[in-house]
Amino acid sequence: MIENLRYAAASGLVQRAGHSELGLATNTLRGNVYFSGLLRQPLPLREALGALRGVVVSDLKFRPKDRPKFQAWLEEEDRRFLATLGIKSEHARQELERLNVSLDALNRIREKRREAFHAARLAYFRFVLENEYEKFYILDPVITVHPDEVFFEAFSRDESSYARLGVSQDLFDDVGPFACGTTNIDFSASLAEGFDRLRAYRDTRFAIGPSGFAVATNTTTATNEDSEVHHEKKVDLPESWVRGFLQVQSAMSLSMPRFSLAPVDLYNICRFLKSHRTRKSPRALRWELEPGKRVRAVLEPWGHVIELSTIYDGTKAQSIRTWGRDRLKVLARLLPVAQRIDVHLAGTGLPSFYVLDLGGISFTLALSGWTDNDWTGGAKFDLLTRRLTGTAAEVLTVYEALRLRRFATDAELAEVTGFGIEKCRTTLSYLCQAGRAIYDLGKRVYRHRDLFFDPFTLQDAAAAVKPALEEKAPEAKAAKHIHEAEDVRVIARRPVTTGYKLSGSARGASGPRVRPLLHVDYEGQIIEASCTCAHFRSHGLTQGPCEHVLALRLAHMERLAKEDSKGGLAPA
Amino acid sequence: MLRAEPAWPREDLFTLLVARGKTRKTLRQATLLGPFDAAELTARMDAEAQALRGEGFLPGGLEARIQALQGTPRERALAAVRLGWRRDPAAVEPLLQAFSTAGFERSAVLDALGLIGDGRALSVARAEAEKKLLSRRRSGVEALRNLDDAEGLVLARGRALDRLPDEVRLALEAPVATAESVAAVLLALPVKEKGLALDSLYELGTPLAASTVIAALPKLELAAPHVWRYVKSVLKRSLLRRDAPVFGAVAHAIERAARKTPGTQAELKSGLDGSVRKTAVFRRLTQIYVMRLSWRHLRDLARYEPGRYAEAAAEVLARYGPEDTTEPTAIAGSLSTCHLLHRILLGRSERFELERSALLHRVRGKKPSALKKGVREESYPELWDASPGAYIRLLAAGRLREVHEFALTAVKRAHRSAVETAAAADIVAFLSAPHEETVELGLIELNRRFDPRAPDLELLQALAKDGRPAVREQTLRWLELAAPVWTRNVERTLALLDSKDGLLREAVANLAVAELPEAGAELRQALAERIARLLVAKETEPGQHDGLARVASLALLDELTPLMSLDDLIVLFATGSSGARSVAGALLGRHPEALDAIGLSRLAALGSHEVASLRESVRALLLSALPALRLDPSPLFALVESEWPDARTFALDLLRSELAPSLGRAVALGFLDSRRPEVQRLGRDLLYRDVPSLSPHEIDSIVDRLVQHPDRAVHAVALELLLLAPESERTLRPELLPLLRGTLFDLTPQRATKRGVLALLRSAALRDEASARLAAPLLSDFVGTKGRLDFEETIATLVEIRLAYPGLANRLQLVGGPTA
Repeated sequence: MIENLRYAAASGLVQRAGHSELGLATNTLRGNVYFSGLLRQPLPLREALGALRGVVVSDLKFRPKDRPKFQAWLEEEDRRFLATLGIKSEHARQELERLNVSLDALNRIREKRREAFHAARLAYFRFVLENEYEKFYILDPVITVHPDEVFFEAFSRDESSYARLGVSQDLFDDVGPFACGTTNIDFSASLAEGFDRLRAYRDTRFAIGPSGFAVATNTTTATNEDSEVHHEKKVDLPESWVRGFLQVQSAMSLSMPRFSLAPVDLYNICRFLKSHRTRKSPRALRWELEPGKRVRAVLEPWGHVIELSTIYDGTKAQSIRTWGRDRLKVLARLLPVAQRIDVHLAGTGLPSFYVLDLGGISFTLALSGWTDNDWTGGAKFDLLTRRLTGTAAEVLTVYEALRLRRFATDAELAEVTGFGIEKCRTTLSYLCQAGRAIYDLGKRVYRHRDLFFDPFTLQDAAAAVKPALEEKAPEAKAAKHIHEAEDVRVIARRPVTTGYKLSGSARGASGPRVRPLLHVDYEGQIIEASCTCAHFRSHGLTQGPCEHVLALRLAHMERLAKEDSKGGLAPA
Repeated sequence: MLRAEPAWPREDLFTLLVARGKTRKTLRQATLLGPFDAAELTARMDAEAQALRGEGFLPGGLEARIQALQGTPRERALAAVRLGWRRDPAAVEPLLQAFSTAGFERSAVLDALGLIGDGRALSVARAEAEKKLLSRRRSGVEALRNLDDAEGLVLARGRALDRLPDEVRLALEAPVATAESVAAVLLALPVKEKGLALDSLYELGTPLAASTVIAALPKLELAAPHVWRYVKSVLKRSLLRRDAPVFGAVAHAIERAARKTPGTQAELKSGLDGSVRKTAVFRRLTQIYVMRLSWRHLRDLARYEPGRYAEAAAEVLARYGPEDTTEPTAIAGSLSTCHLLHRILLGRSERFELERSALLHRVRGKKPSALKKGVREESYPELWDASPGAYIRLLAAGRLREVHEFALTAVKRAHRSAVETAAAADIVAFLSAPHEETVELGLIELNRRFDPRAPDLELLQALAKDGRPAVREQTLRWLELAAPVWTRNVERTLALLDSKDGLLREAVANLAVAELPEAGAELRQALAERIARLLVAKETEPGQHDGLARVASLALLDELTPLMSLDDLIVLFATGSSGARSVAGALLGRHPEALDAIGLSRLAALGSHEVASLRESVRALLLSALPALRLDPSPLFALVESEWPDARTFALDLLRSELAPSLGRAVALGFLDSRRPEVQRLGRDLLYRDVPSLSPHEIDSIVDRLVQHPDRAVHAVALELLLLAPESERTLRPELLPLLRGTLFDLTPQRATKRGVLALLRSAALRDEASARLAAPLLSDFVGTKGRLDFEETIATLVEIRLAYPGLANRLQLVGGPTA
């Protein structure tokens, strides 16, 4: 998928007498989105934008080392060894060794002589990396202007981290007229340098618009008029990138254990990771959650325990392991300006979310289960969310209601549209997965955000609903078959404060009858699940729920819908 | 019969035998005349021949062939072919008579008339050239060519051009058309059009058309219906034209195709009667017939036109490559399927025998035997020796080891002089031969020809154009040796600088740069003028100006400066190639008026330009503008942030060494605001210069600015300034929080800075309550640190604050005491 981005001007920071202007040029191929205001606290925003840039360019996926020098050396050694095999004469052998020593010396001299060349070549590659790479491989963040905040969203290159930076409009003075909507912004390396020039002692006007700034800060762009006036990028965007973007929303709307951290707690974790490295497994960050006790972070494999300053207020003791902890280092820059950090953990090997409160600015970092497990590789978080059926017309109605309000809770939308709250949640789930809405974890509201420029039509709504009707995921398909074949039954259903706990019995197309256990919230989202099947024993929930768990949930949802139609609304 | 023989024992005298009879076997009245010397013999032979004609005798076989023209169509065609080879004018009238009554054999008769080259056949040939039927048209046009009928050929070419598809015609008429480019267009045509286009192209008879046919043949699927008949036509044309290169290419291509395909059948429309019938295309019988025809042609050449044999044979041999060889077996060598090659190279060999049904050359006997010393196995060895140029052709173009060995043996045996007189391009071609001995021979010959004092400049130029690595190495060595000679010739120098090989171009430029200071002023001036003109012109390919630019920038700046005005330079800079821009950049520094014309600020901006020579010139100009910069150094401020290290270093050095006195505190703070460490260091040094004169209030305002910088190096400066104040005067302000929090929560802080911040917090907090109000929450946030030293210092400070200000909010809870 080729994502075309066109900018009428470059983004940048311009310093004028006594004040500076931070202009973010928007993608002119999308709708007209603009905003302008005087920044009240530039320093936290500076750090947050720097961290966002860190997420955009980060790529921590494991790649085996390419060691051409070592390979060349190995081949040379092999060649030498083979060359000596046929030599019978001792004199010839000695002569060969002598010549090899001379050759090595000459090679060293040559390497020494070519040092300058190698340095220049390296400099050239760096230049290419900085100036060309980002034109084709780094997708600019998505920016959305809402009446209450402006937020940026970005996905890392390795598709394992998602960041959302929300800047409250309360942080701006002298806010000019603005147009709500979503677009991309030119987010180059030079702009990142520009962010670092933000200072509190200078008034800084923050502007989002197609024109950016006519004057760029660096001399390269000043002399290269073409690139300044018209700057285009064609990013070859993997399908997985888009799907990942949508899966994040599914994962965010899960019910998850949540606790708070003080900045110094994250500082301690990052500091330890910075000074300790290991090749041994497990390289996990284990969270020990015990109700009424301080949360403990255990850094494995050292078993180093960091007792946090906050008390866990959940109801159930849990031990949750998360991997890919090095990705947390991207938050290091925010530690001095952070006031509070909320952590949401979906479960062992499942995504984790860090929401940093910077005082009017919130920075959400969503991490997949581990670095190599991107949001689309195996995880199917959409299966964990509620799956009532919905029609295209219902989806479109909720979309229009959300678009008009820009942000709202599910209850507010249910009231406006007249749908039941369950239906509303289902349609919102579709919208999130179609890229038309997001779930704001900090404020716990749904927000309108069109990831794609094309208008959302009835056909799009039908396409969004279709996957639910014709399940694409094999587990969901199998679950539907189990349900239709009446091979699942609910053995026990117990209402609890967070929703329902169910135990059941199910049998798939092949294999023995198994015993799925399920804990769902009132919204139908899976909080906890387990099963006696082989799939669950191997993967747990890291690859999404198994067909038996999903079939049990279908049976539960069917029963719930029957109760709903009798007039009972599930408590919100 | 007339036969001359040496008059034994005198070898300089000859006897002449005259005999009469109906056939060779029934000769009578034999008379031996002579002896005569060589000159007399010729005259006497002519006289005797005339006498015999007068008696009614004709050359042997001629009458029989003429008689055969009255026979069946097959006999008539065969007789016509033979008469064509004999080229006897006496056969013209019988042939014309036969043409008037001919049927299918009409083309053969016309071919013969054309080969004889008698003008009486013109009208017939012109009429045939206009026919639509391929065979008749071909015979007509080729007869016109053999008859040298310029007028008829012009018309025929016009018709051939009309037949060509538009895209081929356009490619052919393109200004820079090459055989490869036209061939590419031809090969892209639909299959049904390719054959006719190929034949029509060859009918044009131009050198480009012939080269295109040669270039297209290896990639053409000869055996395809709609293609084969035209390939056959091209072969026949090449036979009639005695066009050795095309004959060699077609004959080889046919043989190669015959190895791969048994041919096919297709529904094809006959050109003769227009009916569509199932036709065999390039089946095995046809393949064998055509391969034998090719050898028959060479054999006839040897008999009737012996001077052409070696050339044609060499062209055929040069086409064979390793891909034509097969895995040798006990009964067949690696070349057993190469029919023509075997015929030419091993035609007299007793080691092989031909299996005629399959045209396979098997080993005679049970196993292959080695070649006996001194035995020559090639067909017609005397004809090869009579044309030693053919050996050179094989060495230059041959791709098969056996072919090279054949030619090398001959050259070593008796034709060394042929190598010595060969064209330079041929010897250069030896260097890329697939046979080591040929390469060595080429190097020996080139070394022999090369004289550094009087080098063969044509040869050098040919070598420079070659572009192959092996040739480049040799060329560079000779260019270096002969540099004092060729650099004295402007045209040669420019031609060598125009080489397409970038490495060679650079080496030539370096040699020219080294030699030009020794050359005369006149030559330098002339070269500069030519280079100035060339640089203004557009490059035909990227990098073409690089060599010229290097010579101009490094050796001819003095000469070029008066030749190019400031305006010229600006134009060159705006529109020229990268090489031209670099020369313009280098020349700019030699125009002091540029300073006024461009202005100091814009000039300084150009100091960060991507063209290095321009940056260098700008630096020279800026140095000349030092007095103005002392008054206003601001143009240099942008330069210190340049992305080019040379520009930054220059600006920083200049500011530090020459302009420091004129730089105030605001400038120092501006430099400290930079993200570049070297600029920050300059700013710090400038600031420290003024520190003794600064009031505490001024220091505070400076610190307030510095703490907002994201770099810890600048934070360290701010902290140093803060710690300049006596301990008793240190206080905390909210403005310092970015420094204090940034340092405490820094994952990789400088130890001294962190210790300094903690010390500052402690001393200030204990000194006044306002500072303590700021320090306490900050330390409370940080007290959770797991760093032992940090924790101990933090907790100690918090305890001291707790004890000093019991009423102050403090996260610390004293055991046994109240919690604030």
